[in-house]
Amino acid sequence: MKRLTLLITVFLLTSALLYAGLGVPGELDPVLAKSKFTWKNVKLDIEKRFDKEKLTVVLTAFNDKGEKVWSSESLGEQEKFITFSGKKTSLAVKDMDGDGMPELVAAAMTGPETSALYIYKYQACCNEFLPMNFTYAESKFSRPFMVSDLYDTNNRDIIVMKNNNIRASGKIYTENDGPIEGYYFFEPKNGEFLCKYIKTKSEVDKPNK
Amino acid sequence: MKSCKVLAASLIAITLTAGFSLKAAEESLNSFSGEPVEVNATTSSTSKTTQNEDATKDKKEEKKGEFPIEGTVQGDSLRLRSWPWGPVIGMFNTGMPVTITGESGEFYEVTINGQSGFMHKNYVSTAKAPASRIAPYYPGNTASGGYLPKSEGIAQSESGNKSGSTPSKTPSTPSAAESGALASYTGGQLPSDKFIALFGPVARESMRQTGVPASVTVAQAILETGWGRSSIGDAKNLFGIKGTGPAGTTNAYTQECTNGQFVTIKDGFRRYNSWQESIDDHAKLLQNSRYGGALNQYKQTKNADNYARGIHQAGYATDPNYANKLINLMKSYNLYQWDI
Repeated sequence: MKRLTLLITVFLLTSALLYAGLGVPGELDPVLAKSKFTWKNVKLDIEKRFDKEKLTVVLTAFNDKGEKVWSSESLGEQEKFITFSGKKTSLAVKDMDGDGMPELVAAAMTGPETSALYIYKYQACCNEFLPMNFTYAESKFSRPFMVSDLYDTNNRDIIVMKNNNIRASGKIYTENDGPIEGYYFFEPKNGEFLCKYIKTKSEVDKPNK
Repeated sequence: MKSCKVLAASLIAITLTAGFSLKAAEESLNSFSGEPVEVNATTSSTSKTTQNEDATKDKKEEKKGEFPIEGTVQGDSLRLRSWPWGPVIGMFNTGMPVTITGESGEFYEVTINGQSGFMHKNYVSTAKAPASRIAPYYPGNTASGGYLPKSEGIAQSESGNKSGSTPSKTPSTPSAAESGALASYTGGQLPSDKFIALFGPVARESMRQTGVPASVTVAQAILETGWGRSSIGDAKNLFGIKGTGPAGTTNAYTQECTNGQFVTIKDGFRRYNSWQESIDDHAKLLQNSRYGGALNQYKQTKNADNYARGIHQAGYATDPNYANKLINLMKSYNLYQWDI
């Protein structure tokens, strides 16, 4: 009897080890990443979660009592890591626009090659976060998120640099020749992120030799 | 001891089930690599086509008849205009009775609820001719409520009637010749007319199943491939989607720059058995929740330009001019003709 109990225990532990690496992020553990938002006397726990019901990635804020005080709209359908100050990152909290208040930075996959990056700004009036706009002034086009439609397995399709400028890999469409691979550069300005310039990949990635 | 064996067996079963459910969950999460669902496309489309052809024929016969004719509005928020493509003076919903007193090109001259004006023929049913509900080609920006001057509106209405905005021959499923030409096409850049003639019927077929406007699909395929120039070898991949497709993967080599050095990267692109599969797979993506709002709006308004703007706003493409580029192509090559 003791041997059987031991056998069962060993079997269960082995199974747990076997499946430990196979857990789907957001399935057994819906929290993909955690961080803390602190500004003046506001302290919130931020979680990037996978909503099992809707199969979407969302950000959620909890107060010090563990109560949910805010939840974002769907960021996308799958987890997406970005390169943030040189490191692979799922969720970051950093002052991106230089006003002393940190913002929430997170991305999610929205299609086979496409990801969306969201930067949420805290709204003291209502204890919630609102997404900051990404604007292409020349094209008079704006969205409350940034899109990269050239997926990179090394997470370099979305890069947040140390100076808070952002680079997205994306296609530049031409009518006759098909799309060209390019980079879109954004900088924080006047409460939003402005597209500074667009360059083709060959212009930027010049080899050393 | 026996109960211990049962317990052990149960535990094994539970553990294995957990393993399978994890795998299943993993697969469900990978929602971008699902294969197209098989549907009986031809049967339903053919019957609808036959019905539309009959309707067009009856509308022609109707012209010979005498007015007034009693009819019914078929389409919500159908515009009543002062003249063909003129200012909107009223909006009426499905089922509203209408008296047809004449016609002018694509439009019926009508009296409805005490008001007189013009309504597009495609959305008015009569006893002999059911409304085709085929979205007309909107000249100018009349789709968004703008209008054309009277003489221009009447001229556009007349020319639209001839060019197929109210089709003299209702679109059909791809003909044997069209299917044959498509089957023998193995990729490579085509002249614009040939590219559109090849992919228009396929996109229209897909639209019948998914609701995604064919005009937008064809314009997207043009932009993504440069008129067929880059469809990933023989992968029949019109939209440059990576991963594993119904026919496997095709590897293509691209240049990546790492630490200032160019490195050749081998990327796997979805491979399809047919061009239709590629279009259906792409349409499936456009049916997900992110783009669902744009599709629902299109189903109400039948405005393909707004649909292009809608998917762009919802996150399709990094390029800020993507929607405008699609619309330019749709207008330049009258891709609206493929919308049903």
